[in-house]
Amino acid sequence: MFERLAASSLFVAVLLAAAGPAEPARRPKYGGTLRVEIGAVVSSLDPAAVGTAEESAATAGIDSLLYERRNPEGTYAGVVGSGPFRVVQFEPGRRVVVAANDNFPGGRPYVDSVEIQMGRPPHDRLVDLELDRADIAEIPPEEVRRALERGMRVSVGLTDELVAIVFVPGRPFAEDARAREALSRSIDRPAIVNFILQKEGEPAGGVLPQWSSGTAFLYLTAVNVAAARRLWSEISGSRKIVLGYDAGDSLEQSIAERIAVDVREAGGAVAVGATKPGLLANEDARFVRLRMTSPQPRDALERYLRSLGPILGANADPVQGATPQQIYDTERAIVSTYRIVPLVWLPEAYGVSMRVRDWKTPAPGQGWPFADVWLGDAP
Amino acid sequence: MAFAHGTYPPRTQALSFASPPSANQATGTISLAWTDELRALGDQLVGIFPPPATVDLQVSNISLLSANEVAAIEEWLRTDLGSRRFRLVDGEPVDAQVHVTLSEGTQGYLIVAQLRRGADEQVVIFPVEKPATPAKPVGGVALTDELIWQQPGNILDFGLPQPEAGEASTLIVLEVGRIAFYVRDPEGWQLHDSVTIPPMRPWLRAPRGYLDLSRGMENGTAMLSGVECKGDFRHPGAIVCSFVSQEGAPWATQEEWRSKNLRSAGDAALISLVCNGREIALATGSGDWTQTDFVEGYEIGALKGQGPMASGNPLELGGPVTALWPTGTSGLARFVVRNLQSGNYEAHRVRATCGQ
Repeated sequence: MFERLAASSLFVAVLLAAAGPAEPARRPKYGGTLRVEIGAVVSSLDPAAVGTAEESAATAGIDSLLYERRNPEGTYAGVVGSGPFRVVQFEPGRRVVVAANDNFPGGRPYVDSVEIQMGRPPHDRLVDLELDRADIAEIPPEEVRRALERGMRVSVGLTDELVAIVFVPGRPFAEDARAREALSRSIDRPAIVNFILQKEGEPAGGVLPQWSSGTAFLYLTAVNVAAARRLWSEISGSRKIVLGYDAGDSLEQSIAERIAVDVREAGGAVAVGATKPGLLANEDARFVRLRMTSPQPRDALERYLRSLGPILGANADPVQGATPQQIYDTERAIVSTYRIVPLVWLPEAYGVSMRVRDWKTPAPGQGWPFADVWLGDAP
Repeated sequence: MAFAHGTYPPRTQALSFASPPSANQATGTISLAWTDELRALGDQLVGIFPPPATVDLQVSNISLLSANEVAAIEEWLRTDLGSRRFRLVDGEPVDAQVHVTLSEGTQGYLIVAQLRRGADEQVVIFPVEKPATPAKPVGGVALTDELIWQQPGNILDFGLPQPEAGEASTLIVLEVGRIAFYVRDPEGWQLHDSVTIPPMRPWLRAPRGYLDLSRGMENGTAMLSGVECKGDFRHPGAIVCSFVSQEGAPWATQEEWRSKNLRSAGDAALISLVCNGREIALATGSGDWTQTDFVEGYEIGALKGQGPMASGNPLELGGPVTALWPTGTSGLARFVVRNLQSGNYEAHRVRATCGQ
């Protein structure tokens, strides 16, 4: 897994280097409008507004442009206008335009403005990049291979978003440890990465990625049909586990359907159904997406514990200490409950036009680095 | 590591090397950081599987350690366990299986040991701090790097003037909006004084800076984009800043020289050194500021039409070089690196010497 990560990073570095200018261009230029397209929809610029995980991530991205101060838990706060940009136009759910803050203490951004189009479907984003109608566009991990095949300049970051299943407290299956373990052991995670994600991601057995904790290799990710079959046979009754996925998330849907097949092959039964928060009343388990707000394993684990505390129940002890041994012991205790079933790690990926310089895919916990990029001449 | 204020670089792990317990079995050497933690692993094994237990020891590596380093670590561990009267055997039957994986995360290297006896498994983890990269042997122009100072905030330039007899060393750090004066005491560099540079206009995102102490501390000048601060740098209170034109700024002159003589470089500077009859310049790579960088020596052709020639091994750095200047002393230059891993700005001094 680690070698694959290193190889992937090297590949991206080579890719970006190959696309760079032939002449030295170290000193940035000022001016221009950076055109950005994202899939999420932000309907309010109020930092306190609550939305889906995708919307929260996009809100944090926009907030990172507007506020100077970042809170430890990953949100941004402070005085509006203290950040490198200020809002000049906001059409809820559609578009936000920010202009460079000439008085930003960290220095005026290189670009004059950034125009962010929201709610753009993945296909449209790729087309706009190809037709030079966008400079930077989010690319879903499962679309990275296709973008590369189309000759796009693609920047793939570290795997920093965990896709997992959590059991809904109070539901019968949530209180049946054998059912939880049976589900986990039935899932062929490498197959999800290879076929659904087109190899852009990593199977997840724990809740922290290998590059951060260094101990993810201790968790098994391969399917264990024999163990799963034995566990399913011990579970009385024939009721299906109802697994809910976000109705607007095609990746969750694909993974859910794949899991239903895996579980059936192992002798169990899962019924999948689209849901929106609070709408599917009978779901036993549902998907969660957890994005790391820090590359440090202890900080990331603390954040997970805070957001998953009610689901993990009595086992959600805070991380005791910060040594790798203590972090591993806490993580192991969480995973061993099977109340959370890690599935895959996803990277952040962006398509970047040739005229964008000094682009660096944001690391976990970092905001969008639009203040640091500048626009050169397209080759 | 977070620094609330500028601090002297933490004392790095000593790079002295420790021999394995039995010298005649050594094929390589590993640092004290490793031997300390391997010894701790041995201590723990003694407590769990009292010698003379038979142990099946397997070592694997998923870190970026080289094969030679892994071999040296494994040999040291085997020798240490042998000296503790463990009987190391391959395969069954054994009292315990010990699978050691050399891994790494954001906190450094890890020794992860999976200890198995029957169906029981226990995992013990020992962190190992990553050492500084040792210098490579050089041919041609040899470069010796010295890290002087690091801090979270941007360093535009810095100066390390020769101290007067009997006086403490002074480090002057030119930042965006400040000239900081540090004095060396036994604890390291301590902030002694500072001069605020008023923002006469909003600061640029990539401001340039240059500290000129060539006419002595008493006639120092700190230049920033559009601002110049002059005065007696022995008495910071007497320094006065004013608006100036950017025409003739040192970075413009440097850029002009680079574009004529070392077009392939990012930044470049002549360093008053001649090797084999050729002038020596130092230059950085030409990648952008998201990439690691290097400083490399170049022999500048003495004849017309003769191009520059890279000489010696480059100094590999952990981030882009944001400033590179000669110090005025032959073969000595200073540069600033933004370390991509720590996020800190690092002030370095590099000495170039003519190699064999």
